[in-house]
Amino acid sequence: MNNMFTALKKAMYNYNNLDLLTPRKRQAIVSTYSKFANDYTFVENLVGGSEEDENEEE
Amino acid sequence: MNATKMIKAPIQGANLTVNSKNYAWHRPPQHPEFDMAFRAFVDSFIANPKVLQSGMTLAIGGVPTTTIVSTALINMVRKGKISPDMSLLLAGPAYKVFTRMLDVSGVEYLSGFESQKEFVEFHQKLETEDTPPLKKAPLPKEVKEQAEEILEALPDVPKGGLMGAPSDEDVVEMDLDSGSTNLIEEQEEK
Repeated sequence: MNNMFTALKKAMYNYNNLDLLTPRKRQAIVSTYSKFANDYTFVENLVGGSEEDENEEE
Repeated sequence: MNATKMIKAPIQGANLTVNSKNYAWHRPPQHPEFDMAFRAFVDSFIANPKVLQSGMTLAIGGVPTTTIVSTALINMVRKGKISPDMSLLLAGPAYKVFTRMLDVSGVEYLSGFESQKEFVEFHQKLETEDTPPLKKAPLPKEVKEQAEEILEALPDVPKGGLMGAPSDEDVVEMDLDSGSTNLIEEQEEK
């Protein structure tokens, strides 16, 4: 991987397809972000909340 | 534009001699922590409607989302806001948030992980689809009523415009026979 764009693309793929990764790799990604306030679940709910609100209104 | 300027490239080895001390990415990054960097990304790209709209326009036009997010992150590195390592850490969450925004707004886009066949199909679909005509959004009732009220309350606009020459109808008659109104007293001739 000698290209910044390829590295970024791989990082995006791994983060957004955790189910397709091996358990060890999945754990590595989740534990990396769990150290921060904006962890995996926070990002998951950041924009997803708006969809739920729309459904409630309907 | 001058044609010779366009093909004027740096000489061989210029990168070895140029003074690169003032490049922003050579200094410590503005946001060294992940949470700060993520907040900066959200503030400058997601919460900024102008930037978000241009990103959406690119996505609608067939640019893969991975390319849009990568460009945004590398732009942050270029400005010295985050380090290249931080951009790798930020890539996943940034991509997730941006694609969610596209999903919420109902935009069809290329994720960047499609096969070549899907990529071609998407672009063929773009070519065949006609761009929808722009429709003027109707004004809300309250705004419409308010606008009508304001129009009625406005006084009649004078003819010829406010700065225009006075028309023949509005000629002011002056009594030319009356005495002089000059403030300077006239001296009697001796």
